[in-house]
Amino acid sequence: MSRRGALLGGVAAALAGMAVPASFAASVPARSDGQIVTLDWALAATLMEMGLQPVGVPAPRWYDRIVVEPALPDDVVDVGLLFTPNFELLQQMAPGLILIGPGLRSAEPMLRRIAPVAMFALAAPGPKPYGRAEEQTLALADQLGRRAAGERFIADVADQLAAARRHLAGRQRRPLCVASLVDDRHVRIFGGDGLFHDVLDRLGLIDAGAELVPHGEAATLGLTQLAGLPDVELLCVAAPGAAAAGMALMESPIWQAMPFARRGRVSFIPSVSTASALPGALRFARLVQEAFATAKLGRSPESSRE
Amino acid sequence: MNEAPTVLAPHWRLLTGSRVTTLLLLCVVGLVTANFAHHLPAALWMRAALAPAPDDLAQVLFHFGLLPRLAAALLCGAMLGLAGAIFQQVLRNPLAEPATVGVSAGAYLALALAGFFAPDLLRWGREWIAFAGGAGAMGLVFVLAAGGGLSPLAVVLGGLVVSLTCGAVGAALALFHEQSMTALLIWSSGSLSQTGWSVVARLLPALLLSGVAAGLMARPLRLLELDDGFAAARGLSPGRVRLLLIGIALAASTLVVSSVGIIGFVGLAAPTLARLCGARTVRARLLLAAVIGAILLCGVDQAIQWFSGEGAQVPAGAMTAVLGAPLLVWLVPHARAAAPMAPQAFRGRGRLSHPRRWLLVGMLLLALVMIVSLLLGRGAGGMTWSGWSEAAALFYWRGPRMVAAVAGGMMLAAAGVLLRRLTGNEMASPEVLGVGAGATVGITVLVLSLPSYGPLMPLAAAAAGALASIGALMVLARRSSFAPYPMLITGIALGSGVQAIVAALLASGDIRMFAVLRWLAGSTFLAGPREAELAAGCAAVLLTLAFCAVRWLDILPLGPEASQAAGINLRRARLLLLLLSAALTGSATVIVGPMSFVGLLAPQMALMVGFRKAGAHLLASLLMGAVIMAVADWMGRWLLFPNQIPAGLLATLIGAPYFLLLMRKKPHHGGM
Repeated sequence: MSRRGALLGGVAAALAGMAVPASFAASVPARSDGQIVTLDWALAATLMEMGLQPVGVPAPRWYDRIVVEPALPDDVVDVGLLFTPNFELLQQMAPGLILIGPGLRSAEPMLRRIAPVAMFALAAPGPKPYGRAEEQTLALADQLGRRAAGERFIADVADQLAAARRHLAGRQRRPLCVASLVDDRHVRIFGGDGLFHDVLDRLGLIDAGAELVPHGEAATLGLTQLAGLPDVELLCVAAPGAAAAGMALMESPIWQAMPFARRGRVSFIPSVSTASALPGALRFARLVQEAFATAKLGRSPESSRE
Repeated sequence: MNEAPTVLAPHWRLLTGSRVTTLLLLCVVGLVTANFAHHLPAALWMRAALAPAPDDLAQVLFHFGLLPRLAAALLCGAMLGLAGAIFQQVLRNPLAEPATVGVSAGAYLALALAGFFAPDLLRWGREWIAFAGGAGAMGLVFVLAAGGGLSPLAVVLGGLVVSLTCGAVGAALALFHEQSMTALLIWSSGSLSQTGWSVVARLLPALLLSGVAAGLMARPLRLLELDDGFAAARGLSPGRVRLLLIGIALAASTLVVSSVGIIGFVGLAAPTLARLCGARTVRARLLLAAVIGAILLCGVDQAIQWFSGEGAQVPAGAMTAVLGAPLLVWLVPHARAAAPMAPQAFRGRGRLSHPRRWLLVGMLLLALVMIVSLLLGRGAGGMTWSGWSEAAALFYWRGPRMVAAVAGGMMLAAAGVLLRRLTGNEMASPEVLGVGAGATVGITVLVLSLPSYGPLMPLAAAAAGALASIGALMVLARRSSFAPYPMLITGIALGSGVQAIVAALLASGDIRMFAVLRWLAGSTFLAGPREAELAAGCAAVLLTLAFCAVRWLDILPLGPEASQAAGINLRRARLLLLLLSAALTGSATVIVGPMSFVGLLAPQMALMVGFRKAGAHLLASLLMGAVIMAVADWMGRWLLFPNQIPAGLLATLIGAPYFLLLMRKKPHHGGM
């Protein structure tokens, strides 16, 4: 018993000692040379649209494949994974400002030791992402002292969407369903709370996907569940790494029995991220317009009958 | 002793039998009819089944969607039931099923590797890749366990460690390819959705073949059941018979895994139910397990279709686990262990001659690792020896996470020692008891319910989840007076149910889930001075308490009689030790995630090296746990720079090979 007593006593003493605040207080003074690290892809893209170049971005090679544009500068530093930035590397880079999305808020105290941190939810989940992206873009512009550039960018995106809408106005309006082929049995349908839905809305197009998936950004469904869709055009967004599986899906008898497949109303566009805010909205609108332009979409019913 | 490990309490035998099975069957038939009628008028069923009109989408869907899905569910269920029954019978372990002997994880890893590095291979033959992976994992298990004559315990232990390693590699891959893993996640939670007859066409001959083969093997299997020596006298090689049977079960289960994904619990529940139904002969048990498996999986899948309607469907694999968990927990008190699971202890090669000297070496090693970890790092210019001058690096970026990792490793190892000595069971470890799973739920709920959260919130959420699962475990285990076997089953049930929910959530493709994934993998990168202090404090208090219980730990494994003779209040001792190990696990899981498996590896390794007395065993395990975690944390910082590998994950990758090496080198001795 006495040994136990001694052990417990020792720990109690040690704990009492630990209560003394262990403040090493080596906070890094904020530099003002204006170099910005963005730990979120939507932030990086928006930043570039406002004429600023980030010096560091997480997983830039994945950005190139998924967000695609605007293209990152060649000399951008890879600062680690999307949700686990490398603190030591960041400190070595000594940026003037670190921009984060809501997903990294828990890392904020650590990041503050390196540089001032600002958080913007450019692409947080929830309804009406386009409107929130506009708000947050403006807030970001304010933070960077570039209000004018921010307003210009927002207006520019709105103008381009409006122009696209006018351009598409003459077309026959069959509802559109935006999907990604996931594997040989499943598709991902982009839903009513997603960026794509808001963009289609602004383009004056009917989003059939939002009826299938009214809430949330997207949902993964079995191919058979697409049978509930009305007469639609299927717009397939390329998903990195799923090309082979997608081919297998399209060979299945169910796919071939689907109205959109039988009438040839399927078109494919390159990768665009739902989580890339206004730059993503712009890219998506342009890709939709291109899909219409190559006459894959919006053909009149007569011309597309076999 | 080799009779089925669960024996029924008498009143229970009257309730089950054919009646429960019939009831289930009726429910399933009703559901199928309802689902079919929902899609197509009954008058058209025959026509749609035989020759669907190509321009009628409803008929095409019926023919190429609904029917193959029904068939796939029946076939997969039957194959899993059969495979589970064979595994349980051959390995003489009521917990054996495709998932617990490494097959599922091996197949998963092979598919993940193919998907990320050679996606074209998947198109060529997903089934074969998964089969190769499952067979490879199980082959590794057998090679490792061969030293012990493929003894049941060695196989299951090896299977557990191999599947943990596969899982860790798979999780690492997923973390580094965070944007393109939806397909893999869907597959990992087992969806039965079909787009044609091709899967069924592959499964049907396989089921028939494996069924016939298993039927032919039923007689030798029955002889084995009696006694290995008896079987050998009849001219049977016990090892060869087991190998053949396992080959059959392996083929059946990997085919299911590769065709529709990982479907847990059917392979565990179906044979259990078959035994509860009173199937006496081996052949009847195999047949009944297959039939019950088919009914179970089909029922679950039809219910999913009925309740989800047009929206996103819960994957069947996730659902079977969620439904199976309470079923198993409910069954536990009705079935008492016919034989304690302890007798085949796995004790390594005798005692060390100089335990103290080796403990000192261990401490020096730990100190060395900690110093290197503090001073050696990698930056933009490559590896650098920072010396003691870079205060920020030492105190903020390297020190706290190292301290947290070491504390986490120590606490997990201690929890492992406690649980293993408490239950007298090789497999008892905090990871297996489902406490980490509870913490996982806490974190998942937090991430999904709040758009953003402060640094201490995940800590609180994980602790709350861990406490809840500890509570559930205590309540459930109380019914059986904290006896080891029911507790393990309960823990495993809790754990796999939770894992399935998390897998299904991840498969939903929500980008926020990757934050959960990061934590699951045991990332220490967010540990700051405050977290490190907290971790060290918890470790100090709880580890001291553990050392206070060394006398109990020495005596308890000798059995209840010996313990009572030594004046120990068995119930109280068990309860206290359980609480302590729960607290240890909870605090460690918050730091290093639920996937490190240090709690399984470290105590086992310490035993295999030869630390036998409780005090030395505990201390050696602590040191091993600490060294593994410290090395993992350090290597994770620079190995794939600038990307960081979570320490919990890397700990499995570092610990498992060493563990396997020990297992291979020192075949265990049967008996205490």
